[in-house]
Amino acid sequence: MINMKTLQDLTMLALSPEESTQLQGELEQKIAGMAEFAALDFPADAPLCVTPLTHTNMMRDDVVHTHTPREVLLQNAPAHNGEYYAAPAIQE
Amino acid sequence: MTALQIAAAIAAKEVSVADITTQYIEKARASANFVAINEQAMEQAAQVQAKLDAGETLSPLAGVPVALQDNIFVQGMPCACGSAIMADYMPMFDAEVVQKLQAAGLIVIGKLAMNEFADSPQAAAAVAADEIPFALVTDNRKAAAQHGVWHIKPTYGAVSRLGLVANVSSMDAIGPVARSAEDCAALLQIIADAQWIDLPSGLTELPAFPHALTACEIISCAEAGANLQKFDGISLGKRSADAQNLTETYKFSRAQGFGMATKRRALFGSLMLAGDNYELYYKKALQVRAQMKAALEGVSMAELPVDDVHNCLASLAGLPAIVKPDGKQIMGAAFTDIALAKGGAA
Repeated sequence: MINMKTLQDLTMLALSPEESTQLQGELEQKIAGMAEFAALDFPADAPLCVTPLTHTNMMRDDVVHTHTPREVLLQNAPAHNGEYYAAPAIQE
Repeated sequence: MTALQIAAAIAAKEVSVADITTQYIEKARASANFVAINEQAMEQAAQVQAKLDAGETLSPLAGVPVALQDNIFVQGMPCACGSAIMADYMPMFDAEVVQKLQAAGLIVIGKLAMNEFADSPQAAAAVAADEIPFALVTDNRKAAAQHGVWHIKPTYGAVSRLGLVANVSSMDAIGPVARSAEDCAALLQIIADAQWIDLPSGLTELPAFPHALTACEIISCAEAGANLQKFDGISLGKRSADAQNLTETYKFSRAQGFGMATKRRALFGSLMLAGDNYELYYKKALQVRAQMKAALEGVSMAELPVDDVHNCLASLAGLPAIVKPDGKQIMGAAFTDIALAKGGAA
């Protein structure tokens, strides 16, 4: 049985009780349908493919350039004080 | 008219860039498929016309209007990705594909609606209805097949992803959707950085890959879930007004900002990476992917239906696939994208 509280903590989501119940059911059904996949047996040294790219990176020259100004970086922040992102205090 | 026909009419001075731009802006404003209009379009049209009048050669598509799925950055235009959490987001720069479009003299008319952090049926619908000659989208094969238009899901890595909102980082690919294969090929050549190769001859019969779809779902949700973590209500994403502390800010902002489909993907991705599941599911998905990619190395091209079971093959292996108006797709070897388009049109 999927522990939805742990999963919500990992995913940083606060689901409503109705959403949690619905999604738990869906996820458990999905996992049940993956039994054959979970039973696949690969050798310990079987290769992994994390990206289909097989090409070598082309490195650009390391040149000095102007950084993005702070005010531009902050423009999409939900809240800021002109210098930093503003976040709720984590201690008094 | 196709995009290349419009470009030819502009080059022959039968129509001005301003006239064409005006015509498509009016269509875009009247269409529910568009979520934003480029208010600089007329000014850019005038600049392109001036260059053409001065005898400058820009590209075979100079002056042609184009639209973008709303997950591609255009400075000065909102980029919401179909999500409430991105509702107020304004990109700080133009995506590399947008810079290439501008350098080639194309006119970005506006942004097309999309499913939250996913595909854009609206883009295929807009192209099919001639609300725009063509558009740039991320993998949109199912919608293109449904609307009877052409679409290239390019070879992974052939087109820059700089300025594309990351979804599934190891599969994301920006490609054209158009009403002709020639338009698709011409637009792809403008936005890509690739050395194309010719197609090896003959259709290939593919072996069955019974676990590819499951592997694709595991990997795509794990990657999407990781990419979605940046929407935290602190540095990015609309902040919940209900939160009383930092943890609630994260959790409430995301819960209120994401739709159900995005929550489902994020949760499944977390589940696949959690504890023993990493070995049980995620690692095996990467092994299935490696096995499948190796098996597809010798494939020249294969005709396939357009559905999740078959779409995942090109996605996992990073291979190009072109969707034809008959609803089928042809998957080819890496970097045969242009040859696939020409072959598809033949």
